[in-house]
Amino acid sequence: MLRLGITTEIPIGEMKQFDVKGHELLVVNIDNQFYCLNARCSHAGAPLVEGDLNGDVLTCPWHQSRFKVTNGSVVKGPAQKPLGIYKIIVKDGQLFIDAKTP
Amino acid sequence: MPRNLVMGNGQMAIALDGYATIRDLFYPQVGLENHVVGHELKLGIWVDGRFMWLGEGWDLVMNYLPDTLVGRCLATNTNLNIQIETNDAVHQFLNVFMRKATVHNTGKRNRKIRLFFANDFHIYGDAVGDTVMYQSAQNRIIHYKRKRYFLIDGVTSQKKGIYQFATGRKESFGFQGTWKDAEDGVLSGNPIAQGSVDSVVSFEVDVQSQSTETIYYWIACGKDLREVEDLGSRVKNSGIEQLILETENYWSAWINRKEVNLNLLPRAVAQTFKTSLMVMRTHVDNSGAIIASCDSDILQFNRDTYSYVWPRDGAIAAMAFDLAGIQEVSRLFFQFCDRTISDKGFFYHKYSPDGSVGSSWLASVDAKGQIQLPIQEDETALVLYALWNHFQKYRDIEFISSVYQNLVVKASAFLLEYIDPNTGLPKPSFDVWEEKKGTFTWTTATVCAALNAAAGFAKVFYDSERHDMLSKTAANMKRAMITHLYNPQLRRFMNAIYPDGSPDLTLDSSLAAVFIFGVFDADDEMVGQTMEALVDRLWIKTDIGGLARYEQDEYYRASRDVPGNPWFIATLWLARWYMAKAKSLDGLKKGLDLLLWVTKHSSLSRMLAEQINPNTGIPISVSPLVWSHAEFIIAVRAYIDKYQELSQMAT
Repeated sequence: MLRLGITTEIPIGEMKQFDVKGHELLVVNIDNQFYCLNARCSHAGAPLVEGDLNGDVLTCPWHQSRFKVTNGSVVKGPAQKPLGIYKIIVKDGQLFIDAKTP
Repeated sequence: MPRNLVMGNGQMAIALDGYATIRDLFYPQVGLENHVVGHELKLGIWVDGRFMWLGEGWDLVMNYLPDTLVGRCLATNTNLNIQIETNDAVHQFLNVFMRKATVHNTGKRNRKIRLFFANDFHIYGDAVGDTVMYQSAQNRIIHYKRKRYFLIDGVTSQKKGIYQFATGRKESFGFQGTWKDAEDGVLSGNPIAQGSVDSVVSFEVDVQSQSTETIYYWIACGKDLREVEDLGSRVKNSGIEQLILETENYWSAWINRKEVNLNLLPRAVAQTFKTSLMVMRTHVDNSGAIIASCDSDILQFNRDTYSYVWPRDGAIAAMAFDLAGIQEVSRLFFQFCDRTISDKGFFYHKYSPDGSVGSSWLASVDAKGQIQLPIQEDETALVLYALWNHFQKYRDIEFISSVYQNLVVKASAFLLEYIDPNTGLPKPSFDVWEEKKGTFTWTTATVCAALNAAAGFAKVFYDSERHDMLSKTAANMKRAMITHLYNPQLRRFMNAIYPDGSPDLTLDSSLAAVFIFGVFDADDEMVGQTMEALVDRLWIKTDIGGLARYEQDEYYRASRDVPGNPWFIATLWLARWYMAKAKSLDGLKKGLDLLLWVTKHSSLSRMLAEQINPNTGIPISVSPLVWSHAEFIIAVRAYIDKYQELSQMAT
């Protein structure tokens, strides 16, 4: 497992990008449930950490594609591909992902 | 009006004001020929029989798409029930400005809407002998004079090209320009005009209620008709959507180098860090010239601009690029310096981006008729100091070898020679603010640092005799600073000593030079006393805050109640002192607070001016100023390095 950080770094309704072994990952806190997704938009590579989070829908800052944070699916284009998602593990207030998944 | 967005590619640079109007367009060298010089290439709309230019009456929000130099302007007019969103960019290698304007009809009925693009060029910087012509076969406009061509074209999302056009005369014989004719929503169709001329093109779209349509407009730049026509065709074939996507991805890759761990920073600081680097890059010509600012509004005050290379500003920008891992840009600058250094080993006041000596107010004879060098010696010193910092980080010995004899040896020989044998201090030259002549603490600190830098190079090149001479002279100069520039009664460094021996006791933020260039340690008692005195006398005691440049600073003075306007660079030097002397993570907070102060007083698009109003916080003088952005990069990097150092100590 790879440690990303601590849960208190990401308050409810916020998100943070982590760079792990060359991968850019976005961790989102929705009501203290943590989700880990690709940090770049599947359409044109925009940094999603700069996007708008509204409930569990994340809007891309460049072309306004919308994604469901809970499963990475596209809610509205222009993006067509879903975001990659990764299993996140919370243990003793710390955030981990499976080292094999990214 | 400050510039809210700047964009460019090293050959072409564009600056937009707060109404999304193009006010500066440089081509084919950044900073050399401004073909707009503060005039207006503006956007207008005609709907329901009413016409408006973007400006008063509109709510405008302007920023960059994150991690890019692609601008976004959201202009809302509730009276017209219209919202216009523009994305503006200069392609990363094609010399084309692209504007994607999406019109949102927020009204309750379908409407016919026209967008107008006014093109008020002043080719080569003036409006004499320009021609503007309509090419009917291609339905486009070309402005030209001698070897500069600007092609105007566009298309709508409904696949229609230019709807109407007008060319005509301006600024003479009572003609205001064709932009005035546009205000009835109809363009005359006059196909050619010469002399002092402008043009307007319009596009018409049918927009359903609560729906959007898009207009794509572009300006292609070339040196002859064929080049600009070829580029225009390429743009048309590729399409603006594709070219903007390319530009977005280019800048995203350019800025995300992972050199600096931005995760340690508050998001506003990280955003300003990234935008600062990209804004700085727009001010770098591909020849290596780094201009101080592209904002030409300063012309209204002194009939000259900041579109010059000050070697000092350039050196500090080069240090910032190096600290961010962007060594290819700093190298370009050092090569520019290698080409422009004078035969005698010093740099002149400033340079045009083509390397020629720039306009100057530094006289070569003083009031008593004595011959003097018209230089600021810190400009020579800081180039050497920046080059040494570059080498320490990248160890690119082959590159250094290519500039060692001409740049390093020549400049250091000048610094060695330009010393007063009686004091061991540099001979008088003009100060960092270009106002007074004397031996200044700032200048002395930079020379001392440069002598040490040159000694370091001499050691690398096994130039032992030179190394010993440089090291010894630097050590003597440091001692001379304590003897002659430190005042034990005041318990601080003085600003300067003048040629007649009189001291300058002005409290000046540039005294921070004693530690920022590594001559004295930030913990040194003399440094601490000096910095405390600066805070005591120069901190602006208004709701805005920030550090003034010096006591009784008259340059753009906005209030008599404070010592001067707050300057970003002065405030960032103070931030670096707080950081340098921090002994714990808690102790770093004062420095971080000042980084946040800078972000708070940047524009929404993260632009940093030279100074701000002490009561309102609005930008004063040019905006953006490369030096302000560069000092921000240096201070952020200092914060991150110190944070990591203290974190390791804590564990």
